[in-house]
Amino acid sequence: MKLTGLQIFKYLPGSKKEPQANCKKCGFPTCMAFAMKLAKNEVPIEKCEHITDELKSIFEEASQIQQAEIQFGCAEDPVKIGNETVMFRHDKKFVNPTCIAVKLESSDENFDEKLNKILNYSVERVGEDLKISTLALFDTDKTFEEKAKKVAKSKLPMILVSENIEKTTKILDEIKDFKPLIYIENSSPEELAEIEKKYNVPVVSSGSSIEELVNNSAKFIENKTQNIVLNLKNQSQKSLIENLTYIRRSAIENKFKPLGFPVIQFTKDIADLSQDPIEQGIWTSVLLCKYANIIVLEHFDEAIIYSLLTLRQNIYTDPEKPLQIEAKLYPIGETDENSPVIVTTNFALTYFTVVGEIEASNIPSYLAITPSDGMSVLTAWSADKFNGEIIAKTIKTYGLEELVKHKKLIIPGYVSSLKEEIEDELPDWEVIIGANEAVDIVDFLRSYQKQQLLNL
Amino acid sequence: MFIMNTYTPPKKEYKTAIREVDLNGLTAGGENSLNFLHSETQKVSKPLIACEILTNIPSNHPQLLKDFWGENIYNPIECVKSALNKNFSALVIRFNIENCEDIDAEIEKSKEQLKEILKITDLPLFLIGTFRREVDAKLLPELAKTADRKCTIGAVEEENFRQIAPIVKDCGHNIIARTPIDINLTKQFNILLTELGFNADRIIIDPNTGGLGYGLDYAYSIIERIKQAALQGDTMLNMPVITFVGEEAWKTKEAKSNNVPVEWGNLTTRAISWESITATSMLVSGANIVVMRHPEAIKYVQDFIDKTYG
Repeated sequence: MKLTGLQIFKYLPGSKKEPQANCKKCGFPTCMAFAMKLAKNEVPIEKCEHITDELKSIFEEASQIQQAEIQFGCAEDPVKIGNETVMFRHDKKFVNPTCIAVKLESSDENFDEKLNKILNYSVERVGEDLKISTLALFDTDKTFEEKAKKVAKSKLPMILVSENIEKTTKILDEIKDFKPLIYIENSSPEELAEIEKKYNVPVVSSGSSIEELVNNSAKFIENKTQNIVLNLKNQSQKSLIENLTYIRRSAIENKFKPLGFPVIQFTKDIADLSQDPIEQGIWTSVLLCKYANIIVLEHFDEAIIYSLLTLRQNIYTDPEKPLQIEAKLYPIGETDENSPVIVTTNFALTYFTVVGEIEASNIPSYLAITPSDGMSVLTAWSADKFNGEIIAKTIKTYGLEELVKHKKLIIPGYVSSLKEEIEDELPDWEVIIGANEAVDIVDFLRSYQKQQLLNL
Repeated sequence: MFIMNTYTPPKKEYKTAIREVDLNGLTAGGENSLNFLHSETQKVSKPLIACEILTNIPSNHPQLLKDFWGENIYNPIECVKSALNKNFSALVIRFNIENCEDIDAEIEKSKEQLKEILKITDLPLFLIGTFRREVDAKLLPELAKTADRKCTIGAVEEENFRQIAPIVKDCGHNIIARTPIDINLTKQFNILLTELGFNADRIIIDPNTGGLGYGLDYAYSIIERIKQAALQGDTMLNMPVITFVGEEAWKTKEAKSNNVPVEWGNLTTRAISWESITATSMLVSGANIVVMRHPEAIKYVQDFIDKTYG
C-alpha cells in the first residue's frame, strides 16, 4: 500500500525540527508540502537532499506495484482491471471494479440480437448507470472474424477466445485501434508474448494450477511482457476460493511478481457447475468478492446481471465515504401548494430509493433532505443527526411554510418517536407517520393523498 | 532480470479459533481460518443455513413466499411440519407479534406455539423475537422458560439485555447479541454479557445486516473486521456470526415487485438470486450462520456450501 503524506513527513527534517527543516531546496515551502507531493508521486524523491536511506527503501517498497493494471477495449473508453492494493475493502477502497463479461459464440443463431441486448443493457442504481463491461467472443465457426469486427465496431470491450493463432492475428491486423484481450487456448507463453508485442494487446496466461501460472509468468517476464491476465482452468468448487485468495494474497501481501497480475475466471471452468442462471449467479457473486478481476458468465440473464451489478456497486464503494447527496429541497414532479412534504436523510441510497417510489406513485411531492452526514434514517437517528431540531430547521430554511398551505410533514415510519419532538419545534405543523420501508411508500402516498383530497 | 519464481502457498496460521457453539445437535464455529480456506484450518466448520418461519404473516409479505408455502404459511405449526421434509439443518422461529394491544395474550399464544413446535421437531431451534425492545424484554424470557431443551434465543440488544439475558442463561440456552454495525459496540456488548455471567461460548454475534443493494456492504466489512480481530486473538470477538439474510432480502423492492424496469429481469429469478447472493456475500465475508426464508434459495446456497466444503 502506498505511503501517505504524513507517513513520509515523519522521516523528513521538518518533523524532527532538524537544522535543515523546511530548507526549501526541493522547491516547496515546507517539508510537509514536499511529503504531500511525494505521496502523490508528483515529485521525484531525489529532489530532497536530506532523504535518509531508510525512507528511500520504505518508499520504494511501498511504491512497488502489487498487481498490474491491465486495460483493453477502445482507446477512448477502455475497461481497466487490476491495480488492487489491499485484501479487504475496509482497509482501503478497491480500485477497479470487477469486469463482468458475458460469453457469446460466433456461431450463435441469434448473435445480433444477443449482441444488441448486451450492448444496450443499462440500469440506473443510486445515481449510477450500470452496464455490462465486456463481451467474450468464442470462436465456434468460420464467422468468428466477421463477428469480432462487428463487436469491435460497437466499441464494446471484447475478449477474443480461440484456439487458432492465425485466425486471431488476422482479426488483430484488421481492428488496429481496438485492443481486445486475447485468449488463445493451448498456446505457449512465447507465442503469446510475441502477439502482445506485435499488437500491443493484453494476453491471457492460463494454467491448471498456481504453480503452472507462476512458471508461465516467469517466461512472459523473460520475454519482456507484463501485459498479462492470469487464468485458472479446471477448478474444483472446493479449491477455487482458496486458490484465488492465494493468488491475490501472493500479489498484495508478498509482492510476488509472477502472480502480480489480474485474474480472469470463466464460470465454465468451475467443475460441477450447472448452466442454471441462479447457480451461475451465485458463483459469480463469490468470485466478485473473492478475488477475480474478470468473470465470464455463460449466459445473459437480466435478473442475474442486475443482482451482480448491484453487488459490485456495494463492494466497490468507498467504505470511508458513504455516498451522500446535497441537503436541500427536491421537488419531485410538478409540485404545487397541495403537494405532500416528505423528509428524510441525505444518504444517497435512501434518497434515490425514496425518489423512485415517489415517482412511481405519480403524486408530485416535496422531498426535504436533511444534512445527516450521509447516514441512513436509523443510523442518523441513533447518532442524533436526524432529530426534531434538525428536521424543524430544515423545514424552515427550505421555505416550506410558504410553498405549501397544508402544514403537514411526513416522516419515516421508523422514527415515529420523533413526532412530538418535531411538533414542539414546529408548532404550526402536524407530523404524519409515513411508511417504514421505501417499498411501501407508493401505497402510503396514494392513501394519504386520497384522504387529503377528501378533507379539502 | 532475476525473477524469484518459487511459489509457496501464502498460508496463514491463526492461533485463535472461532468459539464453537453447541446449538443442540449441531455446532457453529470452531474453525481457525477464514471461511472457505480449507487448508488453513485445523477444524473444518461448514457454515449453516437456518430456515426462518414467522408466526405472523404481515399483509405486505412477499407473494413468492406465500406461493411456496401455500396456506401453511399462516399456521406456524403446519409450516414447521412441512419444513421437516426439506432437509433443513436448523429452524428459526420468529415470534413476530403484530398485535401490541394485548401483549400478555400474544405471549401466551407464542408459548403455546413453541410447545407444539418443540414436540414435532428435533432440529436445532433459534427462537427470535420482534426486534421491538420492550416487547422482546417480556417475550424472550418467557420463550426461554418454555423451551425444555437447549435453544438459541435472541436477539438481545444493549437496551434490553439486562431483562432477558439472565433468564436465558439460567435456562441454559445460547444467546444472540445484536449491535448496530459497529465492531467496537459488538465487542463492548459481548463484554457486558460475560460480565453478567454469560458464558462466552454460548454467545452468537448478530452484527445487523442490510440486504443486497441496501447496505449489505456495511455488514460485509464489519464481519470481515470481526473475523480478522477474532483470528488474531480477540477473545471477545471470536464468537460465531449469524446474519438475518432473509428478512433483509425479502423487504426489498427487488424481491417483491413486478412493477419495475425490464432490466431488472424476471421476478422469481431476481428474488431468489437476491436472497441467495445476499447470503453468499455474507458467507464469504465470514458469517457462520445465515438465516433464509425461501426454500428454493436455501437449496441453491446449501448446494454451494456442500460443493465448496466437499
